[in-house]
Amino acid sequence: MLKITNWRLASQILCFGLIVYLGYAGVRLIEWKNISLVLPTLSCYYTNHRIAQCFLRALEEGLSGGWKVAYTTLIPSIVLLVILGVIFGRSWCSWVCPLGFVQDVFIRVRKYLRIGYYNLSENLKLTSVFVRWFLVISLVCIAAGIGIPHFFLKEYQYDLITPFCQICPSKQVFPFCEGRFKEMLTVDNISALSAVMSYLAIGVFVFYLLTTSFIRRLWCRLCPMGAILGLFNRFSFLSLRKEGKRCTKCGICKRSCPVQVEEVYEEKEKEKIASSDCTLCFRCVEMCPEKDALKVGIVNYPIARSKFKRFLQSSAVKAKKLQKEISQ
Amino acid sequence: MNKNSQAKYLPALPPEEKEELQKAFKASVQKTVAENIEKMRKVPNRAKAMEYFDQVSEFFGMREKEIREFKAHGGKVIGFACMLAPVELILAAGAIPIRIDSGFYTPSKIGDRVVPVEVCPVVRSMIGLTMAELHPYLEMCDVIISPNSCDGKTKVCEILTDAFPVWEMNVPRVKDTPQAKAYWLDQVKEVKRKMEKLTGRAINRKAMRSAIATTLKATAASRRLQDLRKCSPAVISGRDAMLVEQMTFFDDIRRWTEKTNQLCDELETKLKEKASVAPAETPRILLTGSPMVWPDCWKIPNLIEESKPAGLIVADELCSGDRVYFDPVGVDEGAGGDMLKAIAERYVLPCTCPCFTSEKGNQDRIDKLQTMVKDYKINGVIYHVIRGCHLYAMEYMRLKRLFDKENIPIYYLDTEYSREDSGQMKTRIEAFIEMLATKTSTDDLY
Repeated sequence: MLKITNWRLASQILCFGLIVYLGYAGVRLIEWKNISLVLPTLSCYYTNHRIAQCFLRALEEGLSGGWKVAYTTLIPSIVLLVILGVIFGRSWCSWVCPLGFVQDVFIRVRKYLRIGYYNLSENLKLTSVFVRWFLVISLVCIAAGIGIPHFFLKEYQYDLITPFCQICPSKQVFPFCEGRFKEMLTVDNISALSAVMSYLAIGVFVFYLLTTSFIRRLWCRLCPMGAILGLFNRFSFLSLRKEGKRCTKCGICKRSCPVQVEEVYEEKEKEKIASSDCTLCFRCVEMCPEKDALKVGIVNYPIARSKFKRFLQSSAVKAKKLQKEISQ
Repeated sequence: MNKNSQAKYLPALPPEEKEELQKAFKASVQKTVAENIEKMRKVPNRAKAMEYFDQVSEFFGMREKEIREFKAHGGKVIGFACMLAPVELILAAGAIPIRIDSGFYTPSKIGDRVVPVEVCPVVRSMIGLTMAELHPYLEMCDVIISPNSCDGKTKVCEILTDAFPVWEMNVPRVKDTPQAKAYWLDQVKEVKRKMEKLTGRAINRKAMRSAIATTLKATAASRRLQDLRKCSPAVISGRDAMLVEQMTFFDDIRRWTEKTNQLCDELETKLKEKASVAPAETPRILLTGSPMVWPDCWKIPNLIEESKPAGLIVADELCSGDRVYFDPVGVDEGAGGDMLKAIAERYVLPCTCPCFTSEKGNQDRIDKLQTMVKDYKINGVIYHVIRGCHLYAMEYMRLKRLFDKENIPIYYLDTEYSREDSGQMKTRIEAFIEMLATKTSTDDLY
């Protein structure tokens, strides 16, 4: 079991099951004194029985609810986000997030069909950074605008409440996972603005479906949750570590990185590889053929290291007899 | 071979002279190979599995017959002049890859008629071989793939166009820019296309997959041998290991992998029995620099391991040795395009050849040597440069300054294919190893 991807898949399936289906087993929103559990992943409001709240939803509700709500929901959820972010970094995206899992399923299907993928060019990569921060800022502004008394946005509060959640692809994905197909792709005709938001949501969902398997983990690069979590990658306990001297710069890590992180390949001096794009899936660690060059670290203590044997198991080209010869 | 007036460089030799040369060459090669093997056999506790490699290392023997038979049945033989040529594509097309870097001394004297003596002897020797049709494998090549890496290889393949069809590959000198990668990938695609046309076999996903699996197995075997050389006591002499690595030049790679694994099995039992090839205090030496090609370039390794006090070559960073099957082809996804990209990147990106440069210089080589010194517990580094190998010669000073700071002895050894300087080489090597020996013994005291 050297292949980290297998561990990750197990974790993703488990978390997907917990987040989407645990509600059916009778578990309800986990709360403690009116403060609900907030996870920094898209654990969605649109599931039937959610066990935890998505941080973005908490942020939106907290901002648009006025001072009192802000005090009771916003501050605890931000504190929780900081704690979870500092411990796990952006690994939530690749190890827990249900939407990330759905993307991985699409990618697996594409791999199985032996279809190639596209990489984002440098310009598009910059654009993706711009888009995700645009989403964060507009989300905060709209939500806060609704919260301010006598501000003009207050008039649109029923159309624009939780603005990001309205266009998030999970709004369609989770009802699908639970079999409520009627609730997908619905259009609200209450007002012109809500209709626009509905069509926007459908547009985002179609974009998500079309691109997700051909551009690896594109949504992760646009997601505002990922943008916020990415800030913690610099300080996170769980991190990607590199011993630059052992790196032969063979480029395998860069090629196999689903979010095209350059640092893991370029960096030779710093020990910690911190990129706000990195989702800490550790595909690079398992694909690195050099012993100890890349490591999964908790602070300074490595819990998994790259080695040639691990590379051989993780590489897409495997020779059956090979395993035997190596293990002898 | 189109020996006609259109030849740009190579003069036609009279048939009598050619025949005479061929006879003399065969005799001299057989003698040198036999001599070298005899010397290697003298090492105590030599592994029995090495006998297979001794057999393959004879140029006019078993392997020649095999290739001739393969060619008689319509198979194609593809020569390549540098380790940057994509071997996987040759294997995927069902052809035999033969590396044609030459280590023969006598033909280099014939080559002097075409190029000046200052030129690297590998080049001169290859020219000599082609002129007199001496090399049994080179002669059988249908095509030569020539990555234009160093200066010598760039020109020698131009000269060889007089005798063979040559597919040139442009090697980008700054290797890890996006442009360079795209450029190199194009070169590899072009070779694939030409290869498909030549052999009439489509290099599809399946063929590439099995070729990559084959070389991955070879890489695993090669790395296994290198891991064994890290252990002390040493269970294999440096020359033996170098011979094993070098036989990838023309041996069938599947059989080579099998035999190397057998050798490693035997070495593992030897390691348990502590049946070492040299006393524990023998200085451990790392070889780096210009390639040392079997058989005439065995002069230096022979001197190192036979001098008094003797050294032990535990690692080499030569493009004729450990580096050949060190880097694996890392395929992330099994689609055809990704495999081709993986093959292309495997040859250029991790390559430590000094023909590459960047704003940081050839940093990859420096890093690799530094980690090798640590991993193999090296006592001293011998920097081998053959005459005319400017790229390696010019990188020496950077390495020396660095290693001087880290207190790792490094010694520059410039030599030639001829045996005239053997005496001088012997004295220099002995002095260096003696220095190492006293250094290690005094290091132990404190």
